[in-house]
Amino acid sequence: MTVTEGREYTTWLAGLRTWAAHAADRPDAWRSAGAQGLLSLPVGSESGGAGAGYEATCRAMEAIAEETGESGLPFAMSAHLWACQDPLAAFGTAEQRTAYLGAAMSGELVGAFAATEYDAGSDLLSLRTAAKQSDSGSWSLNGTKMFVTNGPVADLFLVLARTGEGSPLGALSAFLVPRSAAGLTVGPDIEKSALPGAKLSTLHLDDVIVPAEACLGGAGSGFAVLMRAMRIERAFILAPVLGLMARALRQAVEHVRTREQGGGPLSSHDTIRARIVRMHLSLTTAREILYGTARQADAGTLDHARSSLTKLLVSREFGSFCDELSDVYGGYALLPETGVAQLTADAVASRYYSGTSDMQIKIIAEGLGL
Amino acid sequence: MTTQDTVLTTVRSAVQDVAPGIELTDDLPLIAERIIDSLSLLKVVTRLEHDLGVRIRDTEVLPRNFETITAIRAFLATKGH
Repeated sequence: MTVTEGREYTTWLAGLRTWAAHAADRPDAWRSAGAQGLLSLPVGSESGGAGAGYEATCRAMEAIAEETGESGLPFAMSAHLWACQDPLAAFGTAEQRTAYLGAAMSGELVGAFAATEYDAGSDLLSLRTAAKQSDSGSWSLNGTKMFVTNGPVADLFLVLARTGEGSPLGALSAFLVPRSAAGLTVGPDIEKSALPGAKLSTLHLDDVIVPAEACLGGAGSGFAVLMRAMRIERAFILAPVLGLMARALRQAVEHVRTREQGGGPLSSHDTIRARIVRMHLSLTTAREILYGTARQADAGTLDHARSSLTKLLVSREFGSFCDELSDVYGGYALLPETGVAQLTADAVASRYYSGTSDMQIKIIAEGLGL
Repeated sequence: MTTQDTVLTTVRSAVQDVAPGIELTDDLPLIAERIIDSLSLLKVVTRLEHDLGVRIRDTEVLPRNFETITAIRAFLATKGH
């Protein structure tokens, strides 16, 4: 029996759903979620986590999104989990984990991964942020990062910087930089059409000095840290989408069963029925793929191609789902109370963050030996 | 042919596959000379995992382990291959 099939987990998940429905929009949501053990789920017990694994965590993220109908909080938590906390647990020294991991799992510390730059886009290996080491061993960081999820609220930034010349494979390093570091400036919230509730900002580093111990995985390990973060994030960043789709499908069924048109409910029209069935197909396909991927990750066999395939497929199914959803509601889709336009914007955004769909296709093609 | 030679042959083949047309030597700096990039490094890792049945952890995909064919071979030796 897997963790997610066990009585302890299913009981806990039911409690999480109740919490999400009533408390997830409160200012202390992070700490409250941490207190329930949500953020420690994927971390191994040897590091102080629950050791429940990736599938258990993704099912929790799906549940929160389904109960709240909001993409922001679970997306922000996913970014924290997969692109900051998970690399910290994987690469961190005992001292680094002592300093940050416990607080990250309890919700006292919000993490952000600062990798993307204005001129680099998805090509993170072209980044310009640089770190130079002094004779004493400390590092000085300079540069500007774009689209930092959780930036406005983050307490800890995992910053990717160039620490040498030549191929970026050997010239990148990752640094744990606290928000309180002198010279670190967080830009204002970036206004965006999608993912309301997930904060986004720029990050400026102006001669930010961090000790030698702030380097995660050692100098030159930045590529390995980046690949770890991307392999896990791409696989699971869209877990909340499953909950959003499930909620929207349930509401759409209710809508077509109760709204009359042409002498009967919309649900009696074959075209509407077919659209609802196609939405169900999209959700089922996305769910099966994502949880199959999570089980691979729990077994330690998840590779980059499968991770990218998951991101690509779930984002595509999300888009197809929203196309059908819009046609089910017709003109009502444009009314904010239906949530259709917001969900569609989220679907568009899902094609771009954590690497564009074109980037995922490139990785999948490599995996096929092309 | 010894087991070690078989592993070395697999490493050479995996690297050559992502560097078609390049005359490789065991000590040619693959990363410094930009013969392999990020995607091709992942391809080499995947190929080695598949062909040799070895698990290469994220924390092991480091430049020092993949800088040359000789370095890759030595790295695999630390994993019992």
